[in-house]
Amino acid sequence: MKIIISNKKLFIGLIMVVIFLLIGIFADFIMPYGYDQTYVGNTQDEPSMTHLFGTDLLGRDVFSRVIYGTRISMVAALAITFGSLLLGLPIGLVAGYYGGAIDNILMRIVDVFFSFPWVLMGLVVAAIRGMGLTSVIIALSLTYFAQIARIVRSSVLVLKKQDFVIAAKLNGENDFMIIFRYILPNSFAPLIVQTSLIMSYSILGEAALSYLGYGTRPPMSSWGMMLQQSTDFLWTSTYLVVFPGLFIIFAVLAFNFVGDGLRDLLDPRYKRIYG
Amino acid sequence: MYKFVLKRLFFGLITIIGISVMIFSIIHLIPGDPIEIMFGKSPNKEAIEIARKFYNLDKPVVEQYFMWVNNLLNGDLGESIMDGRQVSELITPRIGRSLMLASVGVIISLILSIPLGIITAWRHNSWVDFNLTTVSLVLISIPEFWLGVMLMLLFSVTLKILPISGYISPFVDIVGWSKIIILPACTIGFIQAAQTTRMIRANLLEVLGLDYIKLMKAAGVVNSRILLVHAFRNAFIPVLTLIGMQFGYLMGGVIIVEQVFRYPGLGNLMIKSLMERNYPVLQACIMVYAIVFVLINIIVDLLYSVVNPKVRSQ
Repeated sequence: MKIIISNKKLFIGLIMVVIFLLIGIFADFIMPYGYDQTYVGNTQDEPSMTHLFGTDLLGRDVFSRVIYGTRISMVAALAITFGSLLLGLPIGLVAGYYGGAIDNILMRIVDVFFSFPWVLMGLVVAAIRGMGLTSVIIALSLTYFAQIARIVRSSVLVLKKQDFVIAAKLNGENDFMIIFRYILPNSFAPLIVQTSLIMSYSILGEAALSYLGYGTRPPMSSWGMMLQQSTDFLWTSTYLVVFPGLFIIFAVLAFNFVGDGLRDLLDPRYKRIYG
Repeated sequence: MYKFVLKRLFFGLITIIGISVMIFSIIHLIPGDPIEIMFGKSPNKEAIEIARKFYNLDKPVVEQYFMWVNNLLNGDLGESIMDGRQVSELITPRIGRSLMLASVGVIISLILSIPLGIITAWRHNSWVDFNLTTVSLVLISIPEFWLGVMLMLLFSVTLKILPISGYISPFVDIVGWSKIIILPACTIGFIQAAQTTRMIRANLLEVLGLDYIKLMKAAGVVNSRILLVHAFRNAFIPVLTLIGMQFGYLMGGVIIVEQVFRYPGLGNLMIKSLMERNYPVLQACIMVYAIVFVLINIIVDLLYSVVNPKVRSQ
């Protein structure tokens, strides 16, 4: 606990993350109005006491929509991160542990996914499966798993030469046991840093794909979609673009702080260089 | 060296073939019949048959793939479903516009990030370093589309000094073109600069800790000369590959920014064709992006191997 408080970035980041997760979980209790409830005659109202962030062009309460958007964003980010781990962990473990041709083939494939533009991946999946939140989750998992696979592989490469792993091997334990009992637990440190960074990329990714129009579908609300719907009304209703944008930035920043803070904590050399 | 180049080209070719199969599958994986989607509900049976023959959708899938690739190689990308125009004619001018936007964006990013990276590394752990590093962490948390909208709000809506959208060719009106391109290019440039600054700073600090730099310091070489000449050259090599690896990210950024500013580039056309289910145009756009992406990766790899002989021998 002391360590966490002494690391300012990690401390602030963790508090922000918890707040966002709580907003996501208790969205139903926080929202004063329904996310798709329209108030005819109250379209594009300026922020006021009844509508904290104002109302949008259909007369929906922006505050409620931003809060509901938090839930969508958090669910999407968690699902994408889970998907990336599901794909990336086994690939990284197998490639690193067995090496040789398996490693070569797997990592070549991972390389392609690693640098493939995620906006394009989202588009391809949307074209195949239809647009929607599930397509976004699939597309971004397919992009970010490559980062997990690379990180896991590189720590396995180091770990498999350690004495305790060699001892386990000599002891006749099978590969499966060695990977799960000795290698996986010891590669958690870099993995957890990458996972929190992937959370932040996922929030940005979901918002961007929804902004482009092939992410979350109406009437559900998503920060990115709210921005897209209000860009045309910049002249009259600036507040419509400001609030969803600020939520995106703070959510992304929260996970970036946690990722950076954790890295400082786990890898002191990194702190000197990356600050 | 030859072997290395050939190997890279071979992998690039395999990647392009893989991507082409994926893109070709799009039209066959979408639920429902593409022709029926094209004609909408309650179509004429005869018209469907004719269209099916016309688009060769009555042939086996594998044969269709090879016909598609053959046409692709001959520069025939098919026709747009919306207006029957040649797809190649539709996308060619847009490729140039997108490349222009991306290049101006990268130039802005390098103009900002090289000096900032050097300053933050030089004044390491000072308040300048601390502030700039924090700013860059905040900047990488800002989505392009929000920054773009805010810049638009400031310069086009409030100050009214720049146009909101539209396009003029630089060969027709260079001043008008710069006014159009400056906001989208800055949006790309700022966000890219945030990341590149961090990379340059990190690499410089790493190089500055190496023995040969310490030796130079001991030998009395001027600090600024060590930093700008000796350290920077070595620190920039990894930055080069990272910029190449970031290219996919840059491409995504350009697509988003084109959408924000209604810039008539390739990304804008691609999103529009997805919304209209205009599959021939969509396939062509994705294919162009994929080829550019693979080519840039090969070029970066080769450049890297030229500056760092260690890579070639592996």
